[in-house]
Amino acid sequence: MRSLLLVAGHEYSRFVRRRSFLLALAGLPLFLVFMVAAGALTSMGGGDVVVGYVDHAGVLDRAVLEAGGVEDVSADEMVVFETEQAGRTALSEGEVAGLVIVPDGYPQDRTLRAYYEGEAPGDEVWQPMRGFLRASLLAGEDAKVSERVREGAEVTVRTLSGDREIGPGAFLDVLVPFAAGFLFIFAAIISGGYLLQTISDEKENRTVEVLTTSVSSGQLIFGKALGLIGVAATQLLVWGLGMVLALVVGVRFLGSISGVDVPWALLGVVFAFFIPSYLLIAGTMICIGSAFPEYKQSQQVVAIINILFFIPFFVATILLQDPNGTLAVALSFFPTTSLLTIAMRWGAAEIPFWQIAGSWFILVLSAGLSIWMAPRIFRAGMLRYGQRLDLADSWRALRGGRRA
Amino acid sequence: MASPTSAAGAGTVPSVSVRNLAKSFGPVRAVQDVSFDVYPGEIFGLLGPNGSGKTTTIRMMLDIFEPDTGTVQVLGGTLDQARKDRIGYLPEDRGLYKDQRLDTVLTYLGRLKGLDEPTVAERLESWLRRLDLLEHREKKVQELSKGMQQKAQVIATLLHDPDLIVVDEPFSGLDPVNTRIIKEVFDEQRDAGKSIIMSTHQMYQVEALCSRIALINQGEVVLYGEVEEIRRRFAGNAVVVQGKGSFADLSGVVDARQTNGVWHLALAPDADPHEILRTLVEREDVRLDRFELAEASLDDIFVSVVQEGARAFEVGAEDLGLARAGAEAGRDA
Repeated sequence: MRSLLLVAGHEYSRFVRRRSFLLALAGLPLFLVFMVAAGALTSMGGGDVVVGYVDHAGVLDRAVLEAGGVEDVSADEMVVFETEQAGRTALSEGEVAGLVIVPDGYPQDRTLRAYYEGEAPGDEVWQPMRGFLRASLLAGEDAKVSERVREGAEVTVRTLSGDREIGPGAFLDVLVPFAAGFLFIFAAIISGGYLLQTISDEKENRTVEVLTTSVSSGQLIFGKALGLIGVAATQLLVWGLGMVLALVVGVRFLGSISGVDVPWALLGVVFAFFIPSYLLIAGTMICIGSAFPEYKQSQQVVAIINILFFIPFFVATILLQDPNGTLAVALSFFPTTSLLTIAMRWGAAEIPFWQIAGSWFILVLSAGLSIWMAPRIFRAGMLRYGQRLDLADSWRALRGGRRA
Repeated sequence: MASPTSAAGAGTVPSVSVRNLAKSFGPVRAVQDVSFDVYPGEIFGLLGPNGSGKTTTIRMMLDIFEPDTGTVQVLGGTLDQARKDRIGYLPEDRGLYKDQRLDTVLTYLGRLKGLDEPTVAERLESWLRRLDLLEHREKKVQELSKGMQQKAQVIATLLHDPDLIVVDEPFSGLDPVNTRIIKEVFDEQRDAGKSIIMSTHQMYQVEALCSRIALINQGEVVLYGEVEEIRRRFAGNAVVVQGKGSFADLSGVVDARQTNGVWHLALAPDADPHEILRTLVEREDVRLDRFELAEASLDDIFVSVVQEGARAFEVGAEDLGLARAGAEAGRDA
């Protein structure tokens, strides 16, 4: 056990100090920071945008605006023009970012006209105008009615058993499980890649020869696997903290992510699938790294193996449209695709418990098989310099126990 | 014939006892029927041409490979974790992490051998100072010269004070000064009662360091015993010749080297120096100024045995049960 932990500690410290790992580690949090900062800047920068309008129909109530009745819009941001010509002159001189014309017939056909110069402006121009128009049309109505109309319709779909529901934040309900599954499988694949690299490197530079005279093959490879799952855990922890931080900060600026609950049940299921998925990947990578004489050759095989883990990603549309369909169920039971498939289905439908349990059971069996094979293939292939371990050799190694 | 025990002291229990080892890789028989003993307090040379099966034998001895047949006893038993911790192994190719600091790598390897961190630190500083690597301890291994990496590998081999030291081409990449330092280290280890198995192609190093050798060719032990005894057996298997003309194409000569006008001719084991002399005297295309028997060097013996395919000139191994080798030795003698 001491040797196994020593190997694990060595592998962990060796990989977390690598520049490539640190870049990957910081990449996601930095991306999130960038996204939140961009959202915050847009939000804060909204006050500087001035929109002009000409109200031929007389529906816009400036008194409501000046009384602060339009959320997040001040009177200074809305400039009224008497004529269209005056408004367009101001637009061409850059005094306003956009010009909205409310025609005489607006009460009947609810149609506006808008003008802008150059590139079409985004919500920073049209959102305040929509708020202003809505507030003006609701002026005089009962406060509760006004609020209800502004919020719009809320549809919540519940399962018959009542334990799952898809509410107004349906997009996030689908996105969060998808992202969680993707991150976990991505971390496992990256960590498996490190394992492949260290096995191949030690085989190529002959370090393995020194190591196996100090520790057993099992201690060596499982120590490596343990150390590298620590690397993956560090990665997930930092990414998770980055996401939490982004949510905490982002909620202040991005209304769409407010009210998002931490999906503990989903995280529990994903984590339960993550451990055997990682072991499956680790065992596979050890076998591949041991069987091929060079890292480059191993990588070609691994590229194909990795695709097997990302198949749900490629058929995401089908899975989300029919989350309990044949393909979704089949991919749930296939060991390399179960984690991502279950995570994706989680947000879109209620998954029968027997499917989750059965899928997990098959995955654990596959992981066990992979871990059983790994030391045998490793021992047979680790000192085959310049020579690939073919299927017959591998079969002999598996049948012959520890005989190399 | 001298017994191997006589080299190391009668009654001493061997540190390594290899019996009838055989190993095939697919259709290739890498090692077949290899046996030898190594005793405490000796440096044992494991010799052979490239691809002869030396490294495979070492790997089976160290439990890296499992033999198809045969047995290995190391430090009094089969190799377990406790015995592994008493072995130091220096492989032919440098087995160090290139992308890590020298002290980090050596500390890790020392700790894998069961040492605690303070002991590793203390011993490491002493070894680094002795082998002139102290100021390079914070460098990455890949930044060190070939010779420095080899010295680092020697430290990794000896840091845990092993009882059995197995070194494969230990002088590779070392300049004469460092070669001398490493030889002194090996001498010290031997004097301290450690067993050292040295595999090398540098025959002069074997002559300088080893008390006994085993020569493996095509997976079999073809020569085994004390160095001095083997040299006595092979005396007359090389001649020194000086004169005019070419002496390279003589019958019975397996290797001819000319240095400063002096020819050194290695003879086949069954070649008679008197016949060679007679042939030279009778030839009209050469003029003979000097002809004398050379002291047999291991280099000549190695070439003779390997090139001629001479079989099992076994010396003093009757108690090892090398019946086949012994019979062939008798035939050759």
